[in-house]
Amino acid sequence: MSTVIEVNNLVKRYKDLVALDHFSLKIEEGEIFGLLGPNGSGKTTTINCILSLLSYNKGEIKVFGKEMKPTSYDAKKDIGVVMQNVAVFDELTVYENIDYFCGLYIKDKETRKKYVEEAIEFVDLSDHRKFLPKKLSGGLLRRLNIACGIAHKPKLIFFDEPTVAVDPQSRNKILEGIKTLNENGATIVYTSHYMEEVELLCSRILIMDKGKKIALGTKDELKRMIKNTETIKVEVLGLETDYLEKLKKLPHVYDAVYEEDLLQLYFSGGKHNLIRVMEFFKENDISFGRVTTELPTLNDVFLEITGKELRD
Amino acid sequence: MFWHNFKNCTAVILKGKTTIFWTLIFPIALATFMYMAFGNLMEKEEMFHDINVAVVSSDEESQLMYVIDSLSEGDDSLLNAEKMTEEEAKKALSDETVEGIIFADEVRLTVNENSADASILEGILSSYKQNEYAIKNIIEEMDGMPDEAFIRTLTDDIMADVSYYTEQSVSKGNQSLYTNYFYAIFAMSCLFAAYSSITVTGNLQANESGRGMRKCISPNSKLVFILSEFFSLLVIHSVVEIIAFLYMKKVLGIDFGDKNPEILLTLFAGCMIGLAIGFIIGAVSNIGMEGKIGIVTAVGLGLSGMADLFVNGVKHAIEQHVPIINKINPAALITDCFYSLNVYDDNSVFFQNIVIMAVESVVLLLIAFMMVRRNKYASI
Amino acid sequence: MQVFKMFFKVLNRYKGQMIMYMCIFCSLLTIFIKSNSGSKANEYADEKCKFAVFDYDGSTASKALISYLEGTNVRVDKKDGIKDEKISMQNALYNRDADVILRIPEGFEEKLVSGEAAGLIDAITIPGTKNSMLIESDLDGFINMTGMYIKAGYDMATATERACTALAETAEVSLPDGENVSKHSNLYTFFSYLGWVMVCMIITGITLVLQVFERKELKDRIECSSYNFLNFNKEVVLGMAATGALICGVFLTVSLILLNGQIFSEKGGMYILNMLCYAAVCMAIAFLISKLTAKKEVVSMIANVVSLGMAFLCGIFVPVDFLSDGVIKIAHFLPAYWYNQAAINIDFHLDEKAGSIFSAMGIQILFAIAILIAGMVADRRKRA
Repeated sequence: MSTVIEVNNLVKRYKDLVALDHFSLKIEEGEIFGLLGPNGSGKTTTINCILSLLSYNKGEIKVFGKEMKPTSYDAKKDIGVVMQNVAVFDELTVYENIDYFCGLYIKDKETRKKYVEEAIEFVDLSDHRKFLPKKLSGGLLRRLNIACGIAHKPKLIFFDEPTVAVDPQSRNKILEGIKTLNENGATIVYTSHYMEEVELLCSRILIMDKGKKIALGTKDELKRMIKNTETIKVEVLGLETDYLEKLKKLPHVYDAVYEEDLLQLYFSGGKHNLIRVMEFFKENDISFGRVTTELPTLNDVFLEITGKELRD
Repeated sequence: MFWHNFKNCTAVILKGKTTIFWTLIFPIALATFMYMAFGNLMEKEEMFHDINVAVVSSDEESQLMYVIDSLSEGDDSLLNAEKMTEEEAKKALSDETVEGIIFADEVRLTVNENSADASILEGILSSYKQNEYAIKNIIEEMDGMPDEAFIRTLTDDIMADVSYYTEQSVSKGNQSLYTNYFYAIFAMSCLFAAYSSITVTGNLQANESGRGMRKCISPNSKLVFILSEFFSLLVIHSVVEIIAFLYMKKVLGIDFGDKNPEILLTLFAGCMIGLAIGFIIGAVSNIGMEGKIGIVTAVGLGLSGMADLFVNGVKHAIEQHVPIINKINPAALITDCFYSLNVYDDNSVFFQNIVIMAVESVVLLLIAFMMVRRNKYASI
Repeated sequence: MQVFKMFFKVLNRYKGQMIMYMCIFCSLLTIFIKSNSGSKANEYADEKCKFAVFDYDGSTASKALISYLEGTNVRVDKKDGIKDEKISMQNALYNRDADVILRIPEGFEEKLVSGEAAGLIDAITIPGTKNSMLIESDLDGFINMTGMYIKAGYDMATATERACTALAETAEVSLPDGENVSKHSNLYTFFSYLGWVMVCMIITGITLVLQVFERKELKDRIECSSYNFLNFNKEVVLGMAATGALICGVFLTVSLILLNGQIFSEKGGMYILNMLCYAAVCMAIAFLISKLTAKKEVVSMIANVVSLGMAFLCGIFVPVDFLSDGVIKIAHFLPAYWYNQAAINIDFHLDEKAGSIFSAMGIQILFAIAILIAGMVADRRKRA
């Protein structure tokens, strides 16, 4: 395993706004690396800096062990990018678009033809190869966008929110596709503000906000960073206050809230929390409605560290 | 890589039909309009159609009547004179059935407005008056009584309309005056080729389009992109200009003389410089597409204006004060190329202009390349 | 008035460009006025021909001819050092140092006396240029006249002197009411060229703004709002009218500066009225074009085709007298023709042709309405 991307102390300012504040990052070969953060947290800026599209004020960036410059053609050869915005020629058909962008990397015609066909197959656009982009639906357009980015079989692929505004079916296809690419040996950098996707896909996750790194690790490591391990919600009518006090004293409970007929119990550790809660209700003969239990999500991680919701 | 991008650029331009349509329509439509407007002037016979004129005279036998009669007769007649009373004549003038009234007794002219016909009438009367004066003068100063026959020979002589000069053209380029106006169309349409360049460079700049981002992150030098796209546009626009040229020559029948290869070379060089100007404007990275279109329009109209494409005299004023501008202004160079074909036998001045345009194009392209070469954008 | 307000917000974003266009067109207009002040039909009367002359005769006759030509035209060969060599002459013509180069051969005077002077003088020039025609007719006139005096028995010196005096005679030309015919006024020149400048300026400027409303997503959004179609278009038209008034205001200011307040007169008032009608037409054209194409890069080319086309066919660049009947018939279907007709009549026959001036303005308004409706229909069609 070798380091594919190394970012050190990156600072990027847009006039008064600090978009990246001493941001550092290291991505290893074969990873699916997730960049998670709310809108405007600096995910795309980071990617554009790594790609040498954006100028930055301070810091250094290495890709494949070498400093990244606009003229680092050797590195660029092995990079593929799927942009946030659909970037294709409106005048060209699906096939022509993929062929053109692939041709920017692959000079040999035969190989290119094979690669383009594979890419079309990969994103499942075989029936649409002669379509003009404006005739494609949103989901298909996204898939074309992906095909244009990955047709040349890059070793390092950036996915910048590829699932924005995509129907669930297309989304699943895209996510599966990314996994397949990874299994075939590509290192993936994936940005999103959908934590479920990141959780599902990524081997390591970096959570960022306001241009700063907040947390980094596998999803389990991240969840271990916070106190909460489980939240139990119980629908109860008219729960008396002293019961609430008693519930707070149960083992592992660190907080309990009762609002609008819903009881929320927060646990930190412990193994049989639900059973203990059920027993408590039984003993005190309190009638209750639905009971749910939730494991912490990355949103909770984000919430606990920044004090705000990941989703806006 | 060069060909791959060349083909793509050509395909994108050709398939984006509107732009190429208007690029082609521009010179063709303008040439057609101009041809319609000048059509009359280019065929001289028609221009001098007989001018309807009322003549008010008390003396049927006066010299002026003799002149007017002779101008109203024959195949090459100039006037269609009708004798009237003063009242009739005034009515005819206000009804616009005549262009003017000649008061033969006072050798005076009354017209409705200052038109071309009025100028011709004025010319006839003035020259009559000059001759009349001269003959009177001669008679007055003559010893003894004037000899009627002698006076008649004098008048006949002066009416004979002899030319005392032989016009010699300095070169064999036999274009007419109006051809120059059609050259002006070429110059403008060459400069407007810059619109295509900014579209293409927009597709090359990461901060302007996703397509630009894709090109920026690909492992290719910007020079390859710029050159391949430049040559693709050069081919397309040269073809456009050639079509326009053929249209003017074959359909409208405009006489461009016998220097066709030189004219085509000028068009080629013109496209080159027009496109290069567009590339350098397109290479500036922090103005949007709209701003660039504005600048191309401004530059195009400005340079054309300085090269006398709208008004005569500007170029001359520049020549007097800052002659160097005329030597570098592409619009002036294009028109000078055509002009030199009219003036010179050999093509040394012509080639000099072509070389200046070529050098300028290369320099502009190089600067454009320098500007985008290692561009990292401040914001995307 | 939401749409109306938005119109101006968009316009504000484009103000840099609008100001730039304003500057270009105002400077073009200024150049037109300065270079063309006064005359139009006699366009070249004020221009003098630049000539060079090589006198190989050196006689009284040739010297008199030269001095006569020097009086009516400009002689340039002394200071520019033009030589009687092909290259030198070609250079002079190419650089516009001289319009024509005359060569008076030896024996000119003798041949003049014997009446064999026809075609004797070489005039080296670019065939067909107007300036060279000018000097050639001067030359003919002078030799002709001198020839006559000589025939009448005068000696060369007296003959040439008398010829000069005779050639100074001109015919008197007047308008029907007795006032001397004037050249076109500066006011006319300004407003006549405005017929070209206005279309070009308004199309390049306003169409860009209108196209913003034509962006599909934006259009759909407005479409599905509760704003009704007529109100929307009404407010866009209102916005254009206000912008048009603004543009007219700028042109008026320019005319005020250029023409020293000549605009404050009955004539000036009529010109302004005519201009406002024409501005309405231009706005309508811009509206129609915005409905026909959404591509910003073609607008300028369309603007040039439309404006230059009308300028050529409607008598702005080429006086109506020179146009063929067929072209004039076509021109009747173009608004600029009526604008120009009104302007000509205002200049010359303000009182006696007031009716036709107003009807020309009326026709322009009708054009504006028709084009506007065409634009709305095109819009409807596009959506259907």
